[in-house]
Amino acid sequence: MKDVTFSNCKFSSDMVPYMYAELSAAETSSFESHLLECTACTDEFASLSIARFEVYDWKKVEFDGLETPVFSIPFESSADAAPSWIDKLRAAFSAGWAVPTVAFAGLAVVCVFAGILVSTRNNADVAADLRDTRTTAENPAVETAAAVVEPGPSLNSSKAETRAKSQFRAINASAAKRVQSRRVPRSASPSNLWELKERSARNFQKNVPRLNEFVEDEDTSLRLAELFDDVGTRN
Amino acid sequence: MLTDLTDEKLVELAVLKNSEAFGEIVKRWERKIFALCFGMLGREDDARDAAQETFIAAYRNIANFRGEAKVSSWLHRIAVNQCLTTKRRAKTRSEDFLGDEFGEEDRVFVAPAHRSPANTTEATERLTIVRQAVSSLPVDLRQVIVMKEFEEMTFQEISETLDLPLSTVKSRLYTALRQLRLKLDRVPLEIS
Repeated sequence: MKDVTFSNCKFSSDMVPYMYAELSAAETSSFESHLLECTACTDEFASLSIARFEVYDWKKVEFDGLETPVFSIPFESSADAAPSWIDKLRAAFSAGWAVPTVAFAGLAVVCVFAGILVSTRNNADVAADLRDTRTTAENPAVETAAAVVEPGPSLNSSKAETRAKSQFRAINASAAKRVQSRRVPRSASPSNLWELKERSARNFQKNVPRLNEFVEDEDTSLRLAELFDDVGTRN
Repeated sequence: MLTDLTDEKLVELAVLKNSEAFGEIVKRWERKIFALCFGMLGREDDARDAAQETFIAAYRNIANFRGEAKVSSWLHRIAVNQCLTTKRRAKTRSEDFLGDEFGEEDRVFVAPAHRSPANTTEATERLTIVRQAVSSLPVDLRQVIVMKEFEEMTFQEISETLDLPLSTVKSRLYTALRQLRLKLDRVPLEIS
């Protein structure tokens, strides 16, 4: 038998884990074999076991039989805890400034885009209207179509027909220009629209018609029908 | 009086077939051997059976005791052997009940199950002593032993909870048990 004291025994560190069954199977077997050979470790283990068992017995007698106490928490009733509008607002913002900030920012962005879209359409309409005004001023065929003089008795049917056709072509050309002018180019940027708006405003100021200078016959479709009717009857 | 004799003297008398002398040995070491068996097996029932078999084996082999070691060490070694045997039995799931193999005289050494008022008083006093001994431990030692025994935490869990190295936790528990043992030794713990 080895004459070894507990303090210098290499298995001394395994004693407490062995007592609480926290050694591996190999370590347990090794320690148990050592206990059979080492008196110092066996006596020390017995000494610790006595102390441990006394604590265990004390716990079993004075603690294990105790009932777990029931803890009552003084929660507030639903009536007392009714939140005021200030509390609700505080709760909404207490959840974090990110949510309302993001919502407000999103709303602002939507409003800005809506405003840009509306202004873009307005600019396109203004530009189209100004182009129409300039076209009618530059194209006397349209004006003369309104002021077609009643053919005299000396005018024959072929000349009237030719004149009607030329007037019809002029009307179609002006209508086509009007349609083209109303198409807002996709590549139009806000800056281009702004320039267009400026230009159209300037042109509009130059070409602001007076009340008494408006051409009476704006509705060329009616004039066209009348012209064709006139041609048909002439024959 | 047998209570005034040393353990070695009692063994000498027991070798001469003095059953009362061996009974005194059992009375002195019953609880401690029971605690040792509990420390090895972890269960009261198994520890009780192992302790009984320890004393039976000691009585049967008392003639082989040469006096080279202390009686306590001799009994400890027998108890360790019995506990390991119990563990092997539990593994192979074969019960070897020794109670039927022995005669009437062996039953003298079985731990008495009856509780006399004196025993109850002694038990109460012992619990008070243990409580005071644990309370008198330093906080860091008391903390570890309470977490281990009352909360049944593993060493790893205690280490993480207290933010201490694993070796420190084991060392503190060892120190706590040693200090408790010294405190309890100052007040003799009577066998119940």
